[in-house]
Amino acid sequence: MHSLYANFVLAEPAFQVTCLAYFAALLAYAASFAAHRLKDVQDRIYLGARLLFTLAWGLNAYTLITDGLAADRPPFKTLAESLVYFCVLFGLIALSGEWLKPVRLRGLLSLLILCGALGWALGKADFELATLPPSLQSAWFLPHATFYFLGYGAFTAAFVVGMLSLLRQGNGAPEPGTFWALALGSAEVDFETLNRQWIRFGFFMLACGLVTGSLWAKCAWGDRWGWDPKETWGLLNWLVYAGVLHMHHVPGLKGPKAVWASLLAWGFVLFVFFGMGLVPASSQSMHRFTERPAPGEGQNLPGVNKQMD
Amino acid sequence: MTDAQPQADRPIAKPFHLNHGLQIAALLFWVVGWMLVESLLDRNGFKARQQVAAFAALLAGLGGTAFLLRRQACFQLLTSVPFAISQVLFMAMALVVGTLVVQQAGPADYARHYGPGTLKFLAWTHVTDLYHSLGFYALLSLLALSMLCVAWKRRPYPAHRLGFLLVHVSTSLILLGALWGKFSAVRAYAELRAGEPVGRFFRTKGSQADRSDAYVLPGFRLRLDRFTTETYDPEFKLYAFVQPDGKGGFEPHPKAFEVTPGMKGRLPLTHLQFQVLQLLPTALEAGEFIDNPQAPEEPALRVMLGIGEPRPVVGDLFAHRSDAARRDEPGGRFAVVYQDRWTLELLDQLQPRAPKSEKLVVHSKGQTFEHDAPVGATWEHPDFTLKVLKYYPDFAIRKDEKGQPQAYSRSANPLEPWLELSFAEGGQPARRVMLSARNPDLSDQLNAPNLPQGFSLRYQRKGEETQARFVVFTRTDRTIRLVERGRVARSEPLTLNKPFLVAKGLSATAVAALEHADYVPGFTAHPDPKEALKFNRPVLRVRVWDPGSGRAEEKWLEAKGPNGLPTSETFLDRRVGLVYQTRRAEPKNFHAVLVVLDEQGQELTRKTASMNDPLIFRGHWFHLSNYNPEDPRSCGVMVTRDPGFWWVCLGFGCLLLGTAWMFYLKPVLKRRAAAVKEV
Repeated sequence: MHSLYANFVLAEPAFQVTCLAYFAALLAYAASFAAHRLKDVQDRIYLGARLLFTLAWGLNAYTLITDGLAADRPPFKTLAESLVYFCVLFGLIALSGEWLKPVRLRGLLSLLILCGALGWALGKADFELATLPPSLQSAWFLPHATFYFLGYGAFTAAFVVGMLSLLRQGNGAPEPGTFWALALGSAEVDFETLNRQWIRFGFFMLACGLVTGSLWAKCAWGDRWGWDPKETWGLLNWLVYAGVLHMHHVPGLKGPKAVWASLLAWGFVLFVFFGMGLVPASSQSMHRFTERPAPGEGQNLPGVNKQMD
Repeated sequence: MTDAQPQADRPIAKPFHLNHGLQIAALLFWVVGWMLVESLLDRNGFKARQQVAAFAALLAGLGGTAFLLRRQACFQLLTSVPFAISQVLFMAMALVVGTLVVQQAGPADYARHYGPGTLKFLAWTHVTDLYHSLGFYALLSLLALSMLCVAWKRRPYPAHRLGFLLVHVSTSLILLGALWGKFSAVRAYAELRAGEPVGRFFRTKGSQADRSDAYVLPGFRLRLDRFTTETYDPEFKLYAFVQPDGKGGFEPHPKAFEVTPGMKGRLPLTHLQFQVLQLLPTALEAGEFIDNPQAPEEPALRVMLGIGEPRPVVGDLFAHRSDAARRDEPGGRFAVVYQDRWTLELLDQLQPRAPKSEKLVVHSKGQTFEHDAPVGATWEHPDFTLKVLKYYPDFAIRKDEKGQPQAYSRSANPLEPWLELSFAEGGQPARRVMLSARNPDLSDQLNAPNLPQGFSLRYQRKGEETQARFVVFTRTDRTIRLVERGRVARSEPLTLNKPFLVAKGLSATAVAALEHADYVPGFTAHPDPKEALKFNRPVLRVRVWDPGSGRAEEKWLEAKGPNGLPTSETFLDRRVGLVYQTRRAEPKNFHAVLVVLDEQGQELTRKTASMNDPLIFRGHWFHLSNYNPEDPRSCGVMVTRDPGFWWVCLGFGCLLLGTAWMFYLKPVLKRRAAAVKEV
């Protein structure tokens, strides 16, 4: 906790304000639940919460763009940067949902995920890195990473609406004015369909990411596929969600079972972000996130034949 | 309800094509079966390609037999959605295993990590190279077959269902391309040197050093004309490490500041303030030694040499440092020495001596070679030939009768020894090289155009003493002695600021004696802007203070201190550590001018290839692979030729188009078709 606070103090002001704005939005969403007895106030608080969410997302996007301009490269080389980028894309998905078909609990869950991701980024605090290795100096880098992050953002959105779908089934049709009616919004929002749609979008984006990655690898190394642990896990995610999509076509598996499967599948997405370090071959991965070098480190040894990466 | 349930209510076992449990078990059986087959083939000496051929034949035989015998059941199974889900999940599990077990490591690594028993199991199951095992191929083949069967079953294909067809055919196309690549792809490596065409590459089998299997480029050769490494500009930043309580160690991550002259700021997690007092991008050292009683003992003597010039030479001699106890007068007429005490051994050392050895020393490609250097000696090395032509004991330059500069020796005394050599490499004409024993940097500069890049040639004379006259200051008896040709010519007591006459117009004066010499760093801006460009020595002076107590400290920080590394300083009882440093000059990209030549040496095409931009010629892709920072005239090039690549691309296209069609175009087309039907 002390380290998190220290990193927060050390962070750039724009990032600090972004974190505070997301946290304020989270509190406002929570307050909009707590004030459910005060009919006159609750809608105003909810509106305020959505406005704060919008402001926080705007700051998040601003941080991403200014970081990218300052570094003169796409700002997702490190895990912290990648999480900030993920927050921009997932935040956009969640925010658009909140303005098109408002559902308080969706906003709250989305903000919890966003705050968790930013908190993790803060814990890593590796924003100081500035250079890209030669292999990443490619026009493929931006679309390849964007497709993947859009895919993971969409799967996260599917996870959130999947939870809401199960909660609605568990609570039947809640009485108007009750907590669940307030939390889950009007019955016209079909969470199960939304879950499937976001999975489809994520699946398509992941396919685009796999294809662009393969073509990039062919240009850079001559191999279109190298069984690198991270690209394998990208394929694994794609296969798992392909399985989930097929479940919607089997009478005994569609409905809640398919939604449960999509919640479990999100665990694979989390593993790609946070668990790759546990995979034994991850240190050889071309996709590993760069970590901060210690000051004074990194002098080249003369006479060593270096592999280009 | 009664206790006895009617027979009809008992759960009926699901048929195989709908039963996930049975399907997973069958898939496991399918994979284990192929593991056994692979082990058998291994044992009988089948090589990788033969194994794949045997696999294809066996698969075709098995599949054909099963289809003939139970055509309906096979088709039902392969086209069932539950079986598709089972296959996808099983494949996902296989991929998890593939990432949890390190792939293609050596047996010793596996034995060390998992133990000998597990190694046997891993070897038998082939999970150590899972993605190239027959079990994995079997899974892929089954998946491709299932998708083709499903595509066949869902005929006909009106417009709105075209996406389904494309997606389900795409996997087979990708696998077909991969299989084709498996049998006919080339992946070979060669190291290219500038100007030397290469037509023979070596297939890579795990190591680039393996040269057992050559691949000859068909009808053309490749030449490297130039290789360059593009690096990032250095970016200097001030990094502040803090330990707020001064006890618990520094915070792991520093705060980085862009530095501007005069900037002020607060150090994070503390109330301490800092200010950049001076920022010198091209600094000259102006520090000096002072006598600091707090510092450890370090006897030093500051000596001023009168050498007949308006500005005397001033320098520090250190009695306890062998490398700093002596200093030669710039004209070579005498040397000054500072020692603790006077001894006969010291006197023995202070007389002219011939060198114990004279060597030519070559440093190239990270290796050092030595060879004797008598006149007439020839050094035949596999990479070069060196011949010693002439020796100049006291080298100088004069103009000959035609006004051309001419090397000659002023005397027979080895005051300025130089060698004249001829240097040749790779059958090229010999070039003349001049080497100075005393001033190697100068001869490096002179010889740079005639030697390959990264090649260093030096003339070393070990154990030589050319100086005949010494002024020796001794600390304990505080005496000055003049030693000439190994004999004490004169001595007198050491008195500060009193000149000691060495010869006519030459003197040595001790101006300060320090018992605890302590260096106080100092820097000034380089006075000449043009000259300053040659320097890259950024330094800054920082003041850190505590507004509460009023304590303040000022220190210099060098971005490129001794050994090129940044200096770090701590302030106010180690509560703050500051480092001014640049990021290392990391490579940004690599560029190589590659030229394709025909057999007669005619240029067919050329391209400046870079890391993500290979040269493509007649189906061959030439990629930059590796480089040697010490030898910028060479680089490693990987050639790949993959006839299956375009099938894979076609599969990718079908996959993306089909997915977009299914998810986003199909609903539109269906709505349109329904609207037309209604009309």
